[in-house]
Amino acid sequence: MSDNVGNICEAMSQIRMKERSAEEEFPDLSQHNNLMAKHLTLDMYGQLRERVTPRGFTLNQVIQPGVDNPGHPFIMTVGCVAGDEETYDVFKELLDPVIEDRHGGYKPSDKHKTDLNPDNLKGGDDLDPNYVLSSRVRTGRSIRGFCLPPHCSRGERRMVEKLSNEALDSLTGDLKGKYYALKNMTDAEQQQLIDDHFLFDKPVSPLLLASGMARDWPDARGIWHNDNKTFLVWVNEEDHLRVISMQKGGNMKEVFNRFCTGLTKIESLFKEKGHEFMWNEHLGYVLTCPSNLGTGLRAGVHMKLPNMSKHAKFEEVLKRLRLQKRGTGGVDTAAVGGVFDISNADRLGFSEVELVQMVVDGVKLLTEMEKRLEKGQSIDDLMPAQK
Amino acid sequence: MAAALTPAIYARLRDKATPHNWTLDQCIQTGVDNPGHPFIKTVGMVAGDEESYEVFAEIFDPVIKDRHNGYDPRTMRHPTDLDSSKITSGFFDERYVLSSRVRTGRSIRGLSLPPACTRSERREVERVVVTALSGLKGDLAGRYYSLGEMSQREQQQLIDEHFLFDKPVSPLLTAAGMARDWPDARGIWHNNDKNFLIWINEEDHTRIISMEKGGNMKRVFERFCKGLKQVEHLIQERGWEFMWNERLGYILTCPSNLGTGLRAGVHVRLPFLSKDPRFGKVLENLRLQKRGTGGVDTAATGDTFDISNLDRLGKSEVELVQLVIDGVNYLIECEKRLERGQDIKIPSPIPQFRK
Repeated sequence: MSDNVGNICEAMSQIRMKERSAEEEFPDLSQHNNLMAKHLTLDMYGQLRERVTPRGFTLNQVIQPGVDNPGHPFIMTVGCVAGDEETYDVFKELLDPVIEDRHGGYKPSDKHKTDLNPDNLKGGDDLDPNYVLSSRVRTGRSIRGFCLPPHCSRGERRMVEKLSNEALDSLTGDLKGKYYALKNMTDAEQQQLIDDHFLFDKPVSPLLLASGMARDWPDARGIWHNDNKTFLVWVNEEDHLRVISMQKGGNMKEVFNRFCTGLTKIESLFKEKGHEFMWNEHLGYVLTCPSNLGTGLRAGVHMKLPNMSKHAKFEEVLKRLRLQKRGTGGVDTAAVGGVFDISNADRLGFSEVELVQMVVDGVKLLTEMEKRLEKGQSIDDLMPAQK
Repeated sequence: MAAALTPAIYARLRDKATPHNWTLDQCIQTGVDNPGHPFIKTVGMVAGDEESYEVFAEIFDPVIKDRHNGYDPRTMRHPTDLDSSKITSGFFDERYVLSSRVRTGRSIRGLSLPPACTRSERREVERVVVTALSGLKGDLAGRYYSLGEMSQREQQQLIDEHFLFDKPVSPLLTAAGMARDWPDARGIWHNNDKNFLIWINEEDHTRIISMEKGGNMKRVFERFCKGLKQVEHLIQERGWEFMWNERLGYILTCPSNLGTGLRAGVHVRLPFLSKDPRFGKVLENLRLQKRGTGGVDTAATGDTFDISNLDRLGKSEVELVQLVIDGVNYLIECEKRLERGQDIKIPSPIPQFRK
């Protein structure tokens, strides 16, 4: 650590050489609408730009995606990223308020609870398949000791791929599967996997590009999935690992069972090899984007809501249920043909079981409302209280 | 870059950094992320500052040599000549040539280049250049339009007139970090006649452009040289200078623009010649390059091409512009012959460097 500090200080003084006052360096955020722009002040900038993480990640790097992307049409973006686990500590003066804002008032002193016991989920095996087309749960995991995608070197990224492959190769039973490196896939194979909603997009999202996560594409990127394609792991996209359980239809309970089983198994396989996931009792699981801290969990369905989505109270209902809507192509898309991706809005401050429960209960209610509207009936009596 | 970089070179250079803390990985990132360009063989690396070319000479020199036809920075000297009176027959047949243009770039010594610069350095470039430009007079008098203050409509108008640079979507630009903080401290300055323009903080600190409709390349180059000299003088008055050395000429972000940084070209209609299978070879021997009329990342539409000099380094400005004039005149001759049903000859290749 001390050798590194020496190098870092030298690097910082070299950087100082070309940086001028905080005012001269402060980004123009006048057109901006993201959480970084909302919370970053000139004073904070002046104070934090003196610092750097042990792995060399700077404030400018934390905020670059937010500077380059003033606002997202469908979702209020965070506008900052972590380059390593320590980012959240070194730049806490900025990241704590951003986290508090994004995660419903979560305080720096709050503790996050983890619950990956699927038996604690009530119901969820009977979401109406006339409306619910598919069910999915995803989360992310970072391998402690390695820099995150905005900052990792090619060597680190390859190591993450290697370690992940070793762990995943050991999975058995219905979880048994294989790895498909992105650089070995044909364009046709890749497009098929994207269209089936299995694979991440080629990195064209300006959020991804601005943060440096697309560097060296497609080196050390890939997807692992089991033979049924119901359990998938993305390697080195926006996070080290994204773990996904999904299937057609409305049996969210089965999806969540598989999710918990798989995740727990993967974690123990990593531990056997002397590696652990980035986690602490305040932030839960540590991921690249502050919006994914805590559980990193997004549980959702693709469901038909042609009537509900045109209703004036649609947004309000979602808000009260603590749910979020997206298009079926992923975070950067709009809904097509009345089919929406409905998922939990929260990640931090609730456990995995609690979040999936919210989705299950919320989807049931939305289905009820859709049926009522189909028959031309009112939904006023079904309006939920704010969760 | 991929052709020249070996694991051994990488190992030797990867722990080095320039005084501005720019590293090898940063130099090569754009080439790693962009395996190949459909129309033009890209260089695949950029400089973050003037010192990059020295600190990483072991990789830059072979890349420069490859891109610039064997020019060896270790042994050769680059000539500068901005005396436009030396140009001959610089007036094209306007039934074929729609417009004429000469551009170059200049970097302000002491400030990092667009891949590496901080926001404050970028703003400093803008301040230094815009202040100097406000001193231009007569037919060169003009004003500055900051990108951040332009309306979308103004911006689109300037792009359609081929004056303004593209919004940064080019993967070459974005992978090299040149699109950071867009549109902060970016803008365009032009004179009232809109035939002398300066781009600020796109791929280089400045790009200086002289252009007009029609085929009067001589006048375009005259204005270019006059304007360039005046701008340099105005900057020097304030204690600044351009990055230049006798090994590499004018220092710019991309190694392909070293030397003169000059691209002299025309938009020219060549409906017959462009369909002739020998078109490519004719261009090659004349040391000319074709592009689409939308800029480097575009394909040609219809029969109109952007034809310009391939070379930048090892020949002077006057030599390159004369080469384009002679070459385009030859292309027009070929076009006329093919129109009349006559055959054309592939010209002998132009020699590379002055001995």
